[in-house]
Amino acid sequence: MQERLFRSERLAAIGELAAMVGHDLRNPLTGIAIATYYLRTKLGKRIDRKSQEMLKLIEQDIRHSDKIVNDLLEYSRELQLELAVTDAKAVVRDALAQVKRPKKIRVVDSVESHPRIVVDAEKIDRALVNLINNAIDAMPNGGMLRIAGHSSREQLEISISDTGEGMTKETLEKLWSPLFTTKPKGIGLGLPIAKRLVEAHGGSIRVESKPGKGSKFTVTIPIRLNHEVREVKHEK
Amino acid sequence: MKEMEGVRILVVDDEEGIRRSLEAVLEDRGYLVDTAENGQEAISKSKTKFYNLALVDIRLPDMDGVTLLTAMRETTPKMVKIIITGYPSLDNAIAAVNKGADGYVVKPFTMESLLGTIKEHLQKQKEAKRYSEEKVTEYIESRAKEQEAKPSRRRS
Repeated sequence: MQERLFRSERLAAIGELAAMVGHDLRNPLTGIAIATYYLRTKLGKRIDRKSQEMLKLIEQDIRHSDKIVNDLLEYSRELQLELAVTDAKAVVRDALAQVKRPKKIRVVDSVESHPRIVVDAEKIDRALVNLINNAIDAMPNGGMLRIAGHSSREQLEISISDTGEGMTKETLEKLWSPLFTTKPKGIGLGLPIAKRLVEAHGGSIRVESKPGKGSKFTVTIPIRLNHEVREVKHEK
Repeated sequence: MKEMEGVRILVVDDEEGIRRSLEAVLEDRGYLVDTAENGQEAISKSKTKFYNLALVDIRLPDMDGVTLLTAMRETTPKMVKIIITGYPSLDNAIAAVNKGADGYVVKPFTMESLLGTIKEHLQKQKEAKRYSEEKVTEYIESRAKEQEAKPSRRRS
């Protein structure tokens, strides 16, 4: 119990530090990005292939660093929901549009537009993007990404399944801990952010996984009624 | 390039890298650029020179960008003010717009989107200026016609 308390205090401190570092890194990163844009537009095609490649590398690393900063800020920021009516199909479509899908991964999206849901679409999008990216990363040699929807009167479920590496019991135990990662380039905030965003909607994420077979993440979101939405908005 | 001729932009940011790189890109696009590293410098520069547009960072060392906007709204009401914010929250953006910002850009931004925002606001400013000039011309012409239509007292 004491160890868990110590760990949660440590994580809170890391979260605060992460937010500060994120804010402070944002400015020099912006400067680097603008200076790189200047070089690209000024020099254009006049520079040799190697220099073009180096510019591209700088741009890629700026995007990667921006993502890390965004994750740090997203995880430490206080959440405020901006609720609006949408549907599961639209949310999944927007999330899929934001991810880079390798050709060797087949995507099957069978989510339907019913029922209507009231969510902060941008935040649910973000949670789904993180889960989809996670599924894609689990299939380095290709495979199938399946996104399905299922609803009852009270809740909507969106499941994201991959045919990738799957996870061991040890990995599953630490899966939602911030800063835990098995990826060489990750910082371990993608899944905790997804969980935080879904839980802010009163929802949850559950996971099933078998090593060598793949994993399935299921997002459950309560279907709010109009008067409940008004109450949530009022509370804000 | 012609439409940028004579257009003055003030960049207000305490981060030297952002000031210098923005200055380089904007000058390359044909704009005349000045920079300020804090709110006081921005106020004093905007009092001595007219700027068509100011890009203002929301966090400055001596005052926040929103306070600077309030001060500049009084001294330079016609200057377009765009706030650059590192906090992508709707509340900050709304507060900035209420305090006199004409628009806002959220970090990280792409230069293409920032240049697009600048161009769009300058176009609106140009149209507003043309409209007010047309109104003045219209007023002068209608007054002149009224005067012509009045019978001369000397003749009567």
